[in-house]
Amino acid sequence: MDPANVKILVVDDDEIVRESLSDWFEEDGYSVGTACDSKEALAKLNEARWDIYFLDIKMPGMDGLELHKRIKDFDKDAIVIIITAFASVDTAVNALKDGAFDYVTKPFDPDSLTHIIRNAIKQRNLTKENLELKESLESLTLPPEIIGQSKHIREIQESIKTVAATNTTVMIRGESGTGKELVAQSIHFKSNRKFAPMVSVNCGALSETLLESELFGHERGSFTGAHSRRKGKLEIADGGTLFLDEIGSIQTKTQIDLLRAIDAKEFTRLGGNEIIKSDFRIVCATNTNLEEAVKKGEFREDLYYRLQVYTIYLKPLRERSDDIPELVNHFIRVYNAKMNKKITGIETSALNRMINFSWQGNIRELENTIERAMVSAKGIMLSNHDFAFINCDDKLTLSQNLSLAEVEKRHIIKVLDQTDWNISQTAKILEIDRATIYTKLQKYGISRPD
Amino acid sequence: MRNLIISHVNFEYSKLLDEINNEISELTRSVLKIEQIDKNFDEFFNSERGQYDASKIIKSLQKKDDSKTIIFTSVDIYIPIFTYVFGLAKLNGCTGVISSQRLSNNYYGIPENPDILKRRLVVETVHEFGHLMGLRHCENVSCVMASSTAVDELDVKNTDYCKKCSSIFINY
Repeated sequence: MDPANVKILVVDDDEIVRESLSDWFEEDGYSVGTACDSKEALAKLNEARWDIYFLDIKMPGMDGLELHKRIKDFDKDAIVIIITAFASVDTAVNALKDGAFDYVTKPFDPDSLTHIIRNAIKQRNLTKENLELKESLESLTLPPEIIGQSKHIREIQESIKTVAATNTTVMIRGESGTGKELVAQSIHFKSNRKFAPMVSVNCGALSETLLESELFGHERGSFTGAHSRRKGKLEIADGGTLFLDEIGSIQTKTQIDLLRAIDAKEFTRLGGNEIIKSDFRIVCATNTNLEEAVKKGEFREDLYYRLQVYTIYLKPLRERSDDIPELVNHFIRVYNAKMNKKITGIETSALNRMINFSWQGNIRELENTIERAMVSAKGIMLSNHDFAFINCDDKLTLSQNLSLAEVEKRHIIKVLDQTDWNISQTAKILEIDRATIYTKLQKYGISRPD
Repeated sequence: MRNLIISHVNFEYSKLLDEINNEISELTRSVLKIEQIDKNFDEFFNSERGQYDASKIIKSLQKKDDSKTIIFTSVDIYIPIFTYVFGLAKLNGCTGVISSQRLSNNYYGIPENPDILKRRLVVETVHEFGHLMGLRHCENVSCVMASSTAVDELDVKNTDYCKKCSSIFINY
């Protein structure tokens, strides 16, 4: 690195020492400043950032040790080298205990100064590099973004914040596609466990034996096909978070083993005797009625209460349609980046269709819909043409208890949108005359969107 | 035209001066003069350390013209913060001083080798002239302007400036 980027401040009341060190460092190409006492040094500390300080212990007024403390208060990563006479080595050693980088006893060999300064620069660079790596790691462990400004989403975010700071077991409940795993990730990345892994297991996707092996691991030869020892997810999640999705689908035997592992924070691999200890935090999710399963004896009551310590309920998207515009714009941004497209937004009529749609598959369905629309979109805005593959109102009428008038109103809007508000075409499709269309528009207060 | 001068006070190896002068002239692409000076270093002697204060020596030999002078001596020299220095010259200064004391094999209990000593004196002189001409230490370890605080470091580097330092020296 360029020595001119390293700033050294020499603080000594002896002009010869200041001058000698300053000349020496300047010959090496460093940027050097000098101060004759602590007062001048503190003033220079406020003026500029210094990387390395050479401080004489004995100075009139505030001595070098006190100045060292002041510098550390100002910049805890500052590298301070104490200059001392042979008689005050003990004092210099105390300074080392207080965090000084090194000390030199006057007079010293030129090569020892060269080594000290090289080590100091190495230390400074390591500290800087460490800080930069931590910052980049922080950016990698940012919690995932939960989109939405509705009251429900604000409450969810508050719950995540509250529970993330603890080690409490969390149960996330909600229909499929409501973002349960996203909430689990958010809890993990906002917790102190964020630098350890978050391990996910979909309990519903595995048979009982496979799930046991997946969770607890297995020893070589523990069952046919177990060719080598394998760590289980409980072990891999040590220090981090274990997310168990579809917890309601696990079988009784696994429920017992899991309860024991959660309580004791230790377990054995399948076919093994060694006790494995693991510090994991459980976050689980389900879209089934666990209470009913407990009543029927399909889900152990003790495990249910163990997992149900703190519950977060995610509402279906159709009950928080306020969030749909923001979600739509979010997915447009996401797929613009993925598909290298430049869609700028969505037309109002198309957005209204999104808002009025029932979204049985929740956010996952909305995301897939936007993705599909963007694949074929030709214009700079997503329009009703791009959503021709969905039939909003059919789903609405099936899923909601709507009046006949509401169904009629929505159907008229749907056909108008499909024909781009061509009244003749709409009348033809609806098999009514144009005058009736106008009467209906007036009756239901329907007007063409901007 | 650079006005470079070498001189000597209490220097045991004055018979090497002509050879050194020729080599340095070639390396610095300059015509060097050897000047006699009437100076005594006694006043710079520190009896506690048994050494001579190099910073006081060069301060006492300030000049007002644009010449650059290096003085050879055989007494052991120091600056107050260091136990010793091989030589001393301030950046863009006019005078520097070099001691043969720690450049000689004798100092380390090894038989004297005039060729090695001559080479070390040449390296050190070209280095200190470099400082007088504004050159800082060079990161190129084989350049004569690389920092060296031990004789083995002097022995491994070249007697000449690297391309970058040479261009600064020539354009001074």
